[in-house]
Amino acid sequence: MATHTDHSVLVLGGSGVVGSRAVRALRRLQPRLPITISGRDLDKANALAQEIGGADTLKVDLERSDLGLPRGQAFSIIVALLKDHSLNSLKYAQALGVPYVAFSDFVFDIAPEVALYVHRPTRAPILILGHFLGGTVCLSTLHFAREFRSVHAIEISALFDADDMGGPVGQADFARLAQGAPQALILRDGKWVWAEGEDARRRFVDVDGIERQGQAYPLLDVVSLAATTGARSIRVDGAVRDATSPRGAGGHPSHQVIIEIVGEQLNGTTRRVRHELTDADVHSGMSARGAALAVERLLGLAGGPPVAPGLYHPENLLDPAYVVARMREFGTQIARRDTRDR
Amino acid sequence: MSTSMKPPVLIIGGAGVVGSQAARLLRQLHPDLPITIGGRDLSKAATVARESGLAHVATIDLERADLGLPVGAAYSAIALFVKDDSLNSVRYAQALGVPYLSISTGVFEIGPEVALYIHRPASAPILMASHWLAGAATLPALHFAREFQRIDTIEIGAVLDDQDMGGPAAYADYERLTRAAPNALIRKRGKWLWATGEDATRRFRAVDGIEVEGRAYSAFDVVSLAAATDAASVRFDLVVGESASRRRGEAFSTEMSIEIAGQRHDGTTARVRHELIHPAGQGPVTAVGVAVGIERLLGLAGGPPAAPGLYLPEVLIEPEYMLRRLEESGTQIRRASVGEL
Repeated sequence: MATHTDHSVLVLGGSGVVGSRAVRALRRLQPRLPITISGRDLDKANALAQEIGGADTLKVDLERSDLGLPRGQAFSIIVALLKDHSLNSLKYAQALGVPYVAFSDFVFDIAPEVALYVHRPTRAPILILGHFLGGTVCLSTLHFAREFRSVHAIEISALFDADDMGGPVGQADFARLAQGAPQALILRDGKWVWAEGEDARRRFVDVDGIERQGQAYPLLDVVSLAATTGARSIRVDGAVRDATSPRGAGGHPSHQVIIEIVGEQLNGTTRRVRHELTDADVHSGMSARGAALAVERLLGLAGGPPVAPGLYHPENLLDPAYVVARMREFGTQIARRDTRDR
Repeated sequence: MSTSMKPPVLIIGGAGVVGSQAARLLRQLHPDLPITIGGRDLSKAATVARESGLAHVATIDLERADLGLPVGAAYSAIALFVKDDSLNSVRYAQALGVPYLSISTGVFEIGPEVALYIHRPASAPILMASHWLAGAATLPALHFAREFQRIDTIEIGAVLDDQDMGGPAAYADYERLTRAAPNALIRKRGKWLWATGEDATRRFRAVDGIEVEGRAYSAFDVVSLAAATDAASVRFDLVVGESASRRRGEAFSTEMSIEIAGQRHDGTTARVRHELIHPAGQGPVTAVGVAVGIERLLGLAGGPPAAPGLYLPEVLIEPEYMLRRLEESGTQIRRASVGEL
């Protein structure tokens, strides 16, 4: 019997910094899943297809509503790891009736996609996955939140190296950030605020014990975590570490994420619990794994049956414990560092 | 079921400048429909309730999950004329399983509301009506679009008289929308972008022929019109300043021009311009948009009650119905020019 996964997974932006990692992660999870790689550098895409096996490449023209592809082309899912400013790829997925992953949205970017969903709500599953590191941080946070009866506040901090800002797509995202909504969306005492100036800054202590000045970002994580946990304060702040900035004596990996949750634990005490995630790969590595886990789930290859048409955030599809287990397998170090009474 | 048997429609901010006009209009359209005017200031709400008849009042505290309402309170729908920074009102509507309509959200700030929908998609119909004057530009535009088989460009130019900024809620919206996202979302030759520099402004003719300079504005109209028509270029530009009527020495009015370019059914290409003017300003026009949205959600006009889901006005409301209601309310609608291309 033919199944939906007889058709290929179309990965747009599949040869880039995130894309090549996502393709490799997907191959590792699903050795036999056919994959079609589309990227601006076809030579790189071809080399990658060769490397992973069971893959081919395709030239896609996002300026065209048919993506420049022959009529009758079929895919099992379309994964846009680049920002498709035309949204032709989303409309194409709706026309085919196959799942779509939108990977590059800040929280202020989603309205055109949401409108396309509203106009054709029963056509295709649409996953909004612009979350930090491909949703892996959001899902990890929800996993760590399980030790709480109620969550009051969530503070997520990230430290990057200046030379680890992703490829051209990642850099274009940051340029769009400055033009779209230069302020950051945070939830503060139960209210949504576009923070600027001092409100948009927060100091945090990194994995090596060094205090960093963080800057809040308008990421989708805040809205997902608010809808899921009921926390009254949620924010995500990032700091960039340049080459001259002090690093820990341990020579820690190039990027780290710190997730701090304040809440009432099951035993009734109120505590702040801190988890540290470190990873030896560039930060795009975790993003890529998040995308691969989402593809598996949407196709019904893990965690449940194929996903029905609808609009989704990652936390509505993926099981937090499953995501954390997979991240550990992929090599992310997770440490529960510190709890103290408040 | 007769409308008087239904629990009341809760209009939060219903005592405000625009909200009170919507409450009166809803009362006029559906004389039996119970209405509750909700607000922070009960005496103001009571005045509006008395004037519109058949209306109750309720003190609303948006900082509370229960909105400060008694346990067991029942409503048939909740409409919001203020920006609810807590979104407690959405959660409350979802808990009751009743329709929700809001008009104050910028196109860049829908994330929190959409996430609440995604988490409980089957709980309530949520109508995102934060379009210019609650859909009074987009729905007419879709009516005017019917003469085209292919649409290339939709350009809407709105003039909001600076003496017609509405109450404090409307002013707060304007401040927030232009501050948090100083660059507006436009669709240009098939691509979405946050307009800067020359893209951020557009000169257009006001309804008296005077050329004015508008600035791209982040209302929902652009995403609705793009999704509905697939037009490659869509933009909405706003002038806050003097309306044409005031230039003539009269009182302020509200104005919109809607220009659509594309290929018509007879194969010719054309640019068609329509103008909408309301001599009493934006209040009565917004009131129509909200009243029509509420009656559609409740199934009082245009179809059965809306099922739980996420909606934009154009997927629920027939453009022709909105036009009729706009004209009844005193909106002047005219076909201003047709240019062959």
